[in-house]
Amino acid sequence: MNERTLTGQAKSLLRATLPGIQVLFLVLLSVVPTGIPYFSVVTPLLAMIGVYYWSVYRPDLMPTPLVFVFGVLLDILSGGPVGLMALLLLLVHGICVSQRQVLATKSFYVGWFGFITVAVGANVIGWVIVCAFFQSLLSPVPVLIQVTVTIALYPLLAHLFGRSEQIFLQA
Amino acid sequence: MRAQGGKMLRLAIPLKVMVQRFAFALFVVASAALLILAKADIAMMEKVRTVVTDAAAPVLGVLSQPVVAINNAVDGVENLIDLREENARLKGENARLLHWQGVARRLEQENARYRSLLQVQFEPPVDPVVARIIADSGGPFVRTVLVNAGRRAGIRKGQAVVNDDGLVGRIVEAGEKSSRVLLLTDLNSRIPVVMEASRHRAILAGDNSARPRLEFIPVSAQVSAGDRVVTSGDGGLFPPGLAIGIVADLGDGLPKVQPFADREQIEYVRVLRFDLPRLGVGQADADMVGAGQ
Repeated sequence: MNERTLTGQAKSLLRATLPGIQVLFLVLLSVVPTGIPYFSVVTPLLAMIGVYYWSVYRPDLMPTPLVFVFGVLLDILSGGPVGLMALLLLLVHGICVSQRQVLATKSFYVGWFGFITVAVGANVIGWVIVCAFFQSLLSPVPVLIQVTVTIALYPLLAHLFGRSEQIFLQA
Repeated sequence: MRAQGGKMLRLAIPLKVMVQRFAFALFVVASAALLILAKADIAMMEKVRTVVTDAAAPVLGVLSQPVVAINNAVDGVENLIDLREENARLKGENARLLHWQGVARRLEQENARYRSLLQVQFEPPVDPVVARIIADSGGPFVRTVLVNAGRRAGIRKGQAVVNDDGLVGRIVEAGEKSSRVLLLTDLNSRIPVVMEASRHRAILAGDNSARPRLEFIPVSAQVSAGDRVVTSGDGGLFPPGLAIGIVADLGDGLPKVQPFADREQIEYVRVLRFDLPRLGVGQADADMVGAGQ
């Protein structure tokens, strides 16, 4: 009896923390050295995909403070200006939560199109902030490649998130 | 009563939304405040950064292991494929290097003799620490890597970081167990250099591209493609004569340098613990210079 409630508790804990654990893993994964030429410059914003997906489909499991913490962690580990990714991920999160009715449909293409819009918008803002931060006009080309790689990876990650949602969250 | 209850319920939902919006605005403002603090570059932010990277270092160390293993396996296969060619090349190189070894020995003795005649102060010995890169991926805006050694291993801010090919960058943040290396291609990297043959001094300035620029070259200096660029040792932080790269592109503006150290091939680096005691470049000064750059 006791054991059963314990496993029940463990299960509900896993359900509640699953999106958070996934995004934390993506944050760490995105700074691991790959040895692929130029990949480190255009590393996809994996955490942005995670924050977008869970903010749209399960905003209760992706609260604002958590998004902020992941953003700051990503900033610190990547060595970028601290606060930048925190701000961008918060923007993505805010748009997703407020536009849930539109974005949270069964249609995969609506979700993808939504992500493309949000990701491009967030990165343009990010590029402007960084140019102001370093007081120099940085080449936008790496940012464009980074966004393109991120957008291309969305279907795969969204599929994996969807599977994990089916297995763990709807059981 | 019933009507009042209904009103309460109608009020409760907007209240929840309002609290959520307030929390959202609060965190957006916090992010903006962090950006301003980061720009101000205060000591507290650096402390926070090093504490977080120290905490994450063991996890990143483990996560980067499979990548290392895969890369090693790929390298192994590649090596097998061109074993014959490689062997021929190495034999040729060995013959050439043996000749150079003889020359170097003779010059070393000659130099030592001249130094003792002139009573030149010897450079302090350089004491390297080997560290592994555990995080790399600053994204499009910065060129930095994290290594798995820090203050406990004697690493301090400002020290030079090299690999087998040449200079990689310098330490900008030293935690207890991890340190951040600013690569020489980063926008904020400025390294005092000297053209090996002509002895003209310049500053190697990164601009986030693969090839940093040479700034402040004397007007009279003749720079041509293929010139070797090495550290000058000015400022007392870097040992002089560390190989950096060759002038690759004269272009229209400032000449560009192709570094010898290929960023993507870097797995292990050596941090050079180099102190100039006679100049009094101790920890405090090193920190000051590091912060000033």
